[in-house]
Amino acid sequence: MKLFYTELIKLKNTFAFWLTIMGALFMPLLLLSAYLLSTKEFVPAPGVNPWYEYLLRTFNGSCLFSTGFISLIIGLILNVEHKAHSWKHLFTLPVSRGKVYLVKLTFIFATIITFIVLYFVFAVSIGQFLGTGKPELKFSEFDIPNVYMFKFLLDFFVSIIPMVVIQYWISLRIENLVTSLGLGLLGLLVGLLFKNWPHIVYFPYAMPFQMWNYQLSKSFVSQNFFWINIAYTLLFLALSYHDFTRRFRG
Amino acid sequence: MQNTEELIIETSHVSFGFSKGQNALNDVNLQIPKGAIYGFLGPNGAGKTTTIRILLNLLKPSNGYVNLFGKRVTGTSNNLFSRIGSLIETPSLYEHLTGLDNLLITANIRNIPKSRVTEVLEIVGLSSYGGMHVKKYSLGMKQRLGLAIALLPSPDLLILDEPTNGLDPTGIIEIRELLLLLCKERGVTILISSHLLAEIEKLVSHVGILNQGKMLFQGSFKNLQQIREEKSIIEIDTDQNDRAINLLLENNHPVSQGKEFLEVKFLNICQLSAITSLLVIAGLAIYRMQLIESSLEQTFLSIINKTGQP
Repeated sequence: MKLFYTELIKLKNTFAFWLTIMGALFMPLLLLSAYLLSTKEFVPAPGVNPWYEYLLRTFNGSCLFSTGFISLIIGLILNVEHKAHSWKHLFTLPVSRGKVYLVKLTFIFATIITFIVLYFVFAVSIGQFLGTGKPELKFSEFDIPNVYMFKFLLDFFVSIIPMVVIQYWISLRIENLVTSLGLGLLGLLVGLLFKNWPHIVYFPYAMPFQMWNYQLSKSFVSQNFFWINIAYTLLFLALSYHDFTRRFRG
Repeated sequence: MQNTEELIIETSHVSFGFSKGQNALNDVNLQIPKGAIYGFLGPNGAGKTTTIRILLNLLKPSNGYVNLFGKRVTGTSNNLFSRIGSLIETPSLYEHLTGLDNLLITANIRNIPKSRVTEVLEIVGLSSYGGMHVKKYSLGMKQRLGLAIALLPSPDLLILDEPTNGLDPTGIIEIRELLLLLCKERGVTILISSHLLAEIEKLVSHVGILNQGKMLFQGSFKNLQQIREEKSIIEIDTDQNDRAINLLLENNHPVSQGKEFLEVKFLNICQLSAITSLLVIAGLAIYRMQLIESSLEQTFLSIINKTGQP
């Protein structure tokens, strides 16, 4: 726990910290301005729950933008160590390399979960605000489809795990933030452009885009993707762990 | 070096190469006894930092092994490092954080109480600057903070790679006094690397000289001084130097013709009066009689230069 706390201290005054908060606010604010500027276009048909359409836009935004933000957050967190040239110092402390690897990865996942939770807290809060400020949008007349939202959250999180592990490895190995981020964004771009190709499910960076226009009936976890994700996660965890503990010189 | 002393650091036939066929270190055998301040000397690129990285388990030797506190260093020797404080090259500091935060990070990992953080800040003279962001620190202050981090665990062994880099003369003296105090009062064994002998000659009890990855000298500082004395000469100039040479050789004084003057190998101070009497009695006019002592720096350089020659 103390090691995890030290990671929290390191995040103080960093761009990674502010990006976790501001990045989570970015898409919900875009949606807010769109709903405010073109309210008439978003008025639902009688009896239709507006939350479904609103959440779908939030989900798609999450697939499109959050993945980029997540790559940047990973790069920035590891850049703190690269910039301080602190790997050599960490490795001379009475703590195993394996522990350093796992604590940092856990901290990165904790930051990403915080980012995603904040993203949805902001999105739902903005929906409720619109329900009060713009009654014609009918947000206040319907319940939030919680199952739909939580199912997406779970599936989305599962979809990004292999990408996070690979991006973590890349950012560990490449000191230059621009290069590691560029590789991540390139992967995401390929995943987005070829998202309809039948074999794209085997490309880890494409997984989040398989969630595009997410439908509750097509649950992501029930398909092959779940097992492909697990296999990729275990494979890249094993490879990066071995590389970090045996070969990485810092 | 005596093998009967308890060795805190011992390397046996350590070799290392960054690429195949090119060894950065060749058969290095360090022996550092308990309570010593060991000056690890060598020019830039000699292999000092590589050796230190091997000692700290940051690099794996291609040959040989390292013993710390009498125990073999392996991939799972993390516990050994709870007794070691180190500073390698430039200190690893998080510049976006305060000096205090930097210390707290290491203290947390090492399970050290916060009271010790305040203590080490005071030891290195940074107690008034603990709350300042490290990016605002001068180079010397950063070096002191790096030293404070190394001192956090109250180590039995301190490994410092060029710790006086960036310090002004006052700072160098302060660090020197602090290290002497740590060694004297707490029995801390210190390995300090430097490329300048003058910087550490007032500090060290033992010296190791490394060049091109090979140990050229290892022993007590007194041993090095002995070598220096052996390199001292007496310069002599008289009105009849040819006669003086014959006289000196007849009386078993090893003499040779130098660039300007006659040079006699210095053995002891009595030799000066004996040579003077000999020349005066023979009726020679003495124009010059001077003892030329080799400085430690010259001794150091002459040892280094031996390997540079083909």
